[in-house]
Amino acid sequence: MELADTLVADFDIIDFLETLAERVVELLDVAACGLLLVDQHGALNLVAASTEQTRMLELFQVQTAEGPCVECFRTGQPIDVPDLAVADTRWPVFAPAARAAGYRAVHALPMQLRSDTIGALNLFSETGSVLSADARQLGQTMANAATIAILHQRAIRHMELVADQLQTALNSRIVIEQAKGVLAERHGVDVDEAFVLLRSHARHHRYKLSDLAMAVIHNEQVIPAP
Amino acid sequence: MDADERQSVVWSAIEALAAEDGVAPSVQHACRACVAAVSAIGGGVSMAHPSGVAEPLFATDAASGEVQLLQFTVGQGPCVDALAGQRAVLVKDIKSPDSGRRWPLFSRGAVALGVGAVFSFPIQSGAIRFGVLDLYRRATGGLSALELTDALLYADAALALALDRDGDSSSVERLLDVTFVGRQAVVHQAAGMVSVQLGMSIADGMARLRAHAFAEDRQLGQVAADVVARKLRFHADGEGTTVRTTDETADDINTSGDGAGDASSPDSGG
Repeated sequence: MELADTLVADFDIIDFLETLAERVVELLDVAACGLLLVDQHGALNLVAASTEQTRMLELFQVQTAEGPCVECFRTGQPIDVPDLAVADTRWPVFAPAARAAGYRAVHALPMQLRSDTIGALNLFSETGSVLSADARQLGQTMANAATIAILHQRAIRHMELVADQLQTALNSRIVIEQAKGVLAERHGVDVDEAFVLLRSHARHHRYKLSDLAMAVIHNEQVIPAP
Repeated sequence: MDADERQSVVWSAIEALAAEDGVAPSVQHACRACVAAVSAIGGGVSMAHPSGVAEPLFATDAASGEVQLLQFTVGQGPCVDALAGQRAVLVKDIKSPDSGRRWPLFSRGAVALGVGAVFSFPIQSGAIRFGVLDLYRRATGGLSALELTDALLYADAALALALDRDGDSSSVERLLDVTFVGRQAVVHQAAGMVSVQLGMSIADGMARLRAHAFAEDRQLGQVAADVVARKLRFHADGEGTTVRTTDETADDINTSGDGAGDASSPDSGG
């Protein structure tokens, strides 16, 4: 896999994590995947997802307060919800919202460095299902790869000071959201379409997503209207 | 939770310092409170200029001001790199060969000024780059995990204070929204949209968005959602900003009188 890219100096963490989320969706045959990281306030934030649809982003965001990701993060254990229909008492906001979005099962796998949990990998399925042992193993391997990519070699070696690295990844994410707004307004499209424009332009021209987002914000790169 | 308690501690410390001075909390108070919280000998805040330079804005004491000025003068150091790289730069031993290679002029000067360790934190939110919070220690050694988290919280608080352009930081509750916006993609998207609507930087777009939310006594997230859903538009007009709802039954809301006018904010970048 593309993990070796982390050794390259101009590696873009958001590009990597978005690609990883897309691979997870293909490999585990789920509908959507998102990666949430803890910030300095102790709250979970979405850093990358297989789909950027606003509807999906809202489902990740609900989980800053309640849901499988928060539980997974707090306990450091995987959380499996094979049937969201019976989860309303546990998560009165999240469970109905996830069902309304068309999902029947959800899973959260911890992102961990030794004993520290830094976030969770979140899987959504449209069919009620239990992850097989193989799928679980594969999902956890992907969660570990994401963890290593975010923390780079320093923290892995020294077991210390990861908060600033998490914040750096989350800050890159904010740049992309800001650029989505800028593009949406310039072209009169919604923010979902703006992201599609941004990403396809980045891929077509082999720009790093974060670099392109920053260039769009500063009006140094013009992305043609759709 | 633990993190929320720390957040309260951070804001209480800032408010206490401001109360001693008899003024509203500002970026300076965030810096001073942070220096005390992590047992540094001093610190400072440098402001980002559109040119990419970090210009000293405030120092807790004369010696810290000299360290800051040194970085500014020689154009190298942790503060310079934190601003350029948009990430924290943590130097636990400024005398180390690594530091000497990375910042030959700065490290020599810093040692002469009695500094052993330097920690620089960007005061930023995505493309909004206000500047850098520097912390200096006499002894070498790194920050503990807790000190690091605190420093990040103080840098966040400094951003909230910096974005509070109408200068009414007396109500800390209204500042807290911005430190939590990392959880709300819609706020960053709206800041981007407003920046285009008004032809200004994202920082100014965010400031206008917040000023409007405060003036209307609404949550930042709700106002942002209205902007993204195109129920609310910001228009530049002479003295300030007019905000129009697209719902015809609602009257235009003019927020130009709330002090968020053009004169109040030096436009940094964009």
